[in-house]
Amino acid sequence: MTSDEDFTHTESLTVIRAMINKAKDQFSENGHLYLVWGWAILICSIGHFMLMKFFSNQYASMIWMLTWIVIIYQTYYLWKQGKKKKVRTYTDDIIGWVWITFVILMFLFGFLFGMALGAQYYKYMNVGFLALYGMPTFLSGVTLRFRPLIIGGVSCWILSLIACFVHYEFHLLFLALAVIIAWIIPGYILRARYKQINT
Amino acid sequence: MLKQDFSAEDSLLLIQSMINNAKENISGQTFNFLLWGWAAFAACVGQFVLKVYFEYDHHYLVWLITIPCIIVNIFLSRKDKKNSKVKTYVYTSMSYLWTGMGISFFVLSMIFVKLGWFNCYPFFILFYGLGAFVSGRFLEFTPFVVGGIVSWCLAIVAVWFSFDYQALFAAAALLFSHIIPGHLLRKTYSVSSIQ
Repeated sequence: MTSDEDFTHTESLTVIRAMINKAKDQFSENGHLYLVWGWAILICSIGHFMLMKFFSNQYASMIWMLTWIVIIYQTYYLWKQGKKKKVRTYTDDIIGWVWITFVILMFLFGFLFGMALGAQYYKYMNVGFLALYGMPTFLSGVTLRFRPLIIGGVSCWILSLIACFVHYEFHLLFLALAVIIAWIIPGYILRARYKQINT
Repeated sequence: MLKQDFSAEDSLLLIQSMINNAKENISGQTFNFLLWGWAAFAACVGQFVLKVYFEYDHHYLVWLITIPCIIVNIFLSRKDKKNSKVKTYVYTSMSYLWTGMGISFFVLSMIFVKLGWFNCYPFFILFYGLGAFVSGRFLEFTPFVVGGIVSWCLAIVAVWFSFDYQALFAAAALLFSHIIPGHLLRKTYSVSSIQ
């Protein structure tokens, strides 16, 4: 097996950096999903807030059903990307597993909040989700050494803490602000970088 | 540039050697991991015993055990920083993962300060599972992955029980997600390093 002795320190560092850069290039394609999910959550959270606050619509939360369309689109997009992609880097795998874990935890969190708080679940569910958003965003940021995502992850945690002390109706606006900082802004930066690299 | 210097197999072998390096590196650092696992395990069981058998009102004080753990953790991390010259990519990712876990636990605790501590355990169990599952994938070490999945199952079941028994579920989750995989990692790599 290839051992450390076959590579100098500088060579190893260069290869590792190349792995990260390679994933960064590929990730900028996936940055598309950051934008898709960022905008979807932004529209749903603002829409939910407006329907609830200004129209007193009792079915306001139904707007979140839109996310099922995004899930279907994402499945199709990833399937298409998987066919195109020839090489999967270790970084790709790490980020993939981090986000799969996030999706599993989103469902489990929702279930636990429903079970633990009953009809009052909505009062703290979004604060919990904010705390959860921080982890994959922060980890993707440090794995890719991409500062906007690190800032986004930390912002989610800070917003979650502040939201604890704010009336639950406004938690939806915190969610909207979190996806702008954590997903939409980094998504556009990644997209711009990708376009720059490929032109 | 690099694509011409290294074949795909070379790259894969290098990545594998990085993962193995990180495993060996981390197996030496498992003391911290096991310290937290055992301390939290003792706190969960201790809280259950104090609350159920002794009916002690301040049963939560058992969690003060985490303060000396934090001090030991900071001391060992500083020592480790001074001693280790090279850190692998996987090792650094693991460090960040557990930094993120620490922050998440803090944020979650703040939420429960507002929400009330009843039903806090299933949520903490979910996060124990997250840390173990992702660590298992980073290190390609199955016991952590299994521990993570077991923890998630325990969290789902725990929510049907009262707070007292949820503490025991948390203890079980710590056993499967931290203690058993931590000892296995330590044993596997201390044996392989001797050989």
